Amino acid sequence: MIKFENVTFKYSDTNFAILENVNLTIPAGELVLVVGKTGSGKSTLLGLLNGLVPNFTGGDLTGDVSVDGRSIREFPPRDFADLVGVVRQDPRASFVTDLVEDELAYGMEQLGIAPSTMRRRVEEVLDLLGLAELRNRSLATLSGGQRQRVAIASVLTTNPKVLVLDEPTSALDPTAAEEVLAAIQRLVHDLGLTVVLAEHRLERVVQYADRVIVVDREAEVYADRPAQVFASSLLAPPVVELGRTAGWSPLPLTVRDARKFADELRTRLEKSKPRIRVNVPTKTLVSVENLNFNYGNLRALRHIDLDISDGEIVALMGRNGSGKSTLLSLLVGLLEPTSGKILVNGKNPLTLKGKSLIESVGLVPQEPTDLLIADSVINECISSDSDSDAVPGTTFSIFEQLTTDVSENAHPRDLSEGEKLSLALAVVLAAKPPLILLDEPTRGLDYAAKRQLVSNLQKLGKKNHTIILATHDVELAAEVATRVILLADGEIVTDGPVSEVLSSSPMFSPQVSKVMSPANWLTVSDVAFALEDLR
Amino acid sequence: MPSAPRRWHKPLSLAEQRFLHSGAWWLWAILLAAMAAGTKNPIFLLSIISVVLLVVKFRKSDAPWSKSIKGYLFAAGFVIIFRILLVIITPDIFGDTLLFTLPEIDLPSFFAGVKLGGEIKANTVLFAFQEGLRLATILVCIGGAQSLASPTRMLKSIPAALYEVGLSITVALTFAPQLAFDAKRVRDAQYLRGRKTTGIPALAKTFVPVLEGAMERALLLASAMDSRGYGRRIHQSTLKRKLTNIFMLGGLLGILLGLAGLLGVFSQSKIGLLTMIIGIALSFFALRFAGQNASRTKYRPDKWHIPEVLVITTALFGLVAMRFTENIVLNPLSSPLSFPQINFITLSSIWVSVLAITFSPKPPLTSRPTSDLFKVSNQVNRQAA
Repeated sequence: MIKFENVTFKYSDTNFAILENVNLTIPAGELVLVVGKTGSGKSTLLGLLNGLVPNFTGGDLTGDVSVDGRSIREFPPRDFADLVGVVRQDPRASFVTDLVEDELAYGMEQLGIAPSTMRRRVEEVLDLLGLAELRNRSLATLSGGQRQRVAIASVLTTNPKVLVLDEPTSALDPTAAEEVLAAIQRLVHDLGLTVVLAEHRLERVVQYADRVIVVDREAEVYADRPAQVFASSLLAPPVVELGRTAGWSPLPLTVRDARKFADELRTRLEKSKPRIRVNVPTKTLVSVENLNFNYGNLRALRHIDLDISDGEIVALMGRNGSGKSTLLSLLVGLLEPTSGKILVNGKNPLTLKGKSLIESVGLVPQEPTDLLIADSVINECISSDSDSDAVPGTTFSIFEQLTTDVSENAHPRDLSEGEKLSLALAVVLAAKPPLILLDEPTRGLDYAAKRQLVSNLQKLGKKNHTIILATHDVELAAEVATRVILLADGEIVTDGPVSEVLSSSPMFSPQVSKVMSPANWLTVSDVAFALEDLR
Repeated sequence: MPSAPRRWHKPLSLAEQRFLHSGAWWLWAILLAAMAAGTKNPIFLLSIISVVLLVVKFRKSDAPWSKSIKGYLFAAGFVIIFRILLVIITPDIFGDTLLFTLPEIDLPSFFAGVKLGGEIKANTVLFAFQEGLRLATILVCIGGAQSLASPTRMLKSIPAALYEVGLSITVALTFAPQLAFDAKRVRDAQYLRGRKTTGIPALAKTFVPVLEGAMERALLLASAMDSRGYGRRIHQSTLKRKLTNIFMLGGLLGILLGLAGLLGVFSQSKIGLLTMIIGIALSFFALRFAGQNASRTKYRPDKWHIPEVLVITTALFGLVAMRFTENIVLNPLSSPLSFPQINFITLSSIWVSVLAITFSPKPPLTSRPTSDLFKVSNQVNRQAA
């Protein structure tokens, strides 16, 4: 169905080829997973499938890519509309109309499909993706999972043979992600669609993949069965890493496979206990009393009571729209509570301004680049030093500790996602705030960058910084958090130590916990540590 | 037996929720605006405003574009106040009722004819109020149309040749809220860095990232539209495109000249009417000509049903009644001061337009019904318990 022949591609503003001599054949009806570090060329590879790369991005292409015999050298992207459906990371950026039904029809209208056929296909696709009751809804009012399904539906109406998805679940909570992936799987099984999907959160998608394409700038791009790829790949979901640590063979790819081996591991670890990672609290840093917050008529937060001590790492979890980001904004004084009291380090965050604010609390927003304003890494660090009256060089030395070699003259926009996050974190840390807030820090991070983040957060925790993360990433919470707070519809549903909350929740439990239950293990590193002890 | 082609689609039950044809709302509003243009009588004008507001109240949808009426109301209020304030710099020509006297400011001689302050007469203020109110009413009519008719559905009803223009308007409409959102994000980030968020330097710093974001989104949208087949299969020869443009321009020029003629710029009003007709014909021809080759299709375009016709008819009564109303009633004198006369037949004819509420169907809900929210929270409560 899809053929890459000797494809080499270089963007015009770089001096290296991002893809070099790629030869791939993807047969019809397969679900193909594209994995690789950030900046390795995954998105470029996906963009080549309908010619958006190089038609919209510019750059030099040699070799040829063809889909169903149609070459991207001969046809512009619009002539692939009936063959390749493309769904972006953030579907909002590609919506053209304002209602669900109209969005579904848009592609067909452009192709000039007869009105009666359009009508029929819209109905079919609405049913296929379970969107029938959303048909009259305005696109702006949809939840994340619904939005993603509408985006998929809107490219399916033109009857494409290939569906291309770039990180379809990265912004979604586990439940919504499940919803989207189930829909995708149905398309592969029922319609025989070929799906090409790039995703960092392998734990969510590996079990659905028929084939994995590994994109790496240093090595050849190749495709293979998942079992072969993950036997050696550095990028692997926790369940695979658990299998490697415990020495299982054949390597399990899914929780279900792994559970067959779990008995043996549980007996080996019978006498061991996971490391305890709670610091001894010395004082309460954040105290929230009967906090309420309304957006117009919508009650975003209700009766929140909360005490957080120094050295705690708290993961705020819950569905999209459950009030996580709102709570963070309130803690940093960006929003004013409708009623109730917030004290951060004994002060009301609303009274803090300028320097006194950054010395008490720092927030790394969802899009870390929002915080960055200068045109180079070093200028950013200098401006941050002057903001916080720190000794010149403070921010840069923090940044160097958080990341591995980065040129100081690079533009912040050209850094990888992980490096951007590290720079934003360094800027926040320069003022030495006791409380650090992170909103969805692992969005767009690959496993290596995530590992870096985890170790950075653990170090900060040991230095008695209090950290609150709003996250959908169960694995991140399992790695770093000491305490988990589950929010639903603006209320605290559960609040407790990480091991209790995560192991008891079906949606929010990490892979290792699913494999090892009823024994209470959360992460591969805990298991590895215990096994090391036994030896 | 072959049935005769049906002129009207089967009338739909009014109980069914659907969007009334956007064109019908626009025509209805334009007729009301035409009424407003023909009178300065505050009672008639206030009636028209009330009619529009009532219909918007009962027939607007819950989509974001329906909120535009608020902005228009602000603008309308501003117009009235501004028109009255303007009185202060225009010299009083007429009037017998002194309201108050402002200190007069002498201006340099080259401002001849303009005077600041002085005696402010009630008559001038009333005159300004009437004129301001007329303009304000027209604004409210346009705002009403915007709140009642979805811009994207309107796009479906416009001729294929104008598709690009319509599309850019729709895209711009969805961009505007996004820009506001971006500006807030950047301001929040400045706050988080402990910087000032007010004042001109801070504003300048917001400007660049917001513009950057908008550019980036525009490119993303362009590529997304391209990959969904936008601009496909529209092959038109250069000659034909040029011809269309010439026809279109000529037509618009004709319409403009015609309007000027009708307003009495030329001595002979027939010239105006003639150029108007030629202009309309040319534009119509150009639209037809250009639309032929566009091979786009329309998904469920709005159709004209009986309710659409009824809604437009309601607005015709007032217009017809006003033609037969004495000028002194339509345009009451402001000097000497007097309470405006009312013709009850005209007044009730204007109020007939409010029947648009009963003749039009309710628009469907486009956002999450509140009952849905309750359901979710109840489930959570039960789980928590």
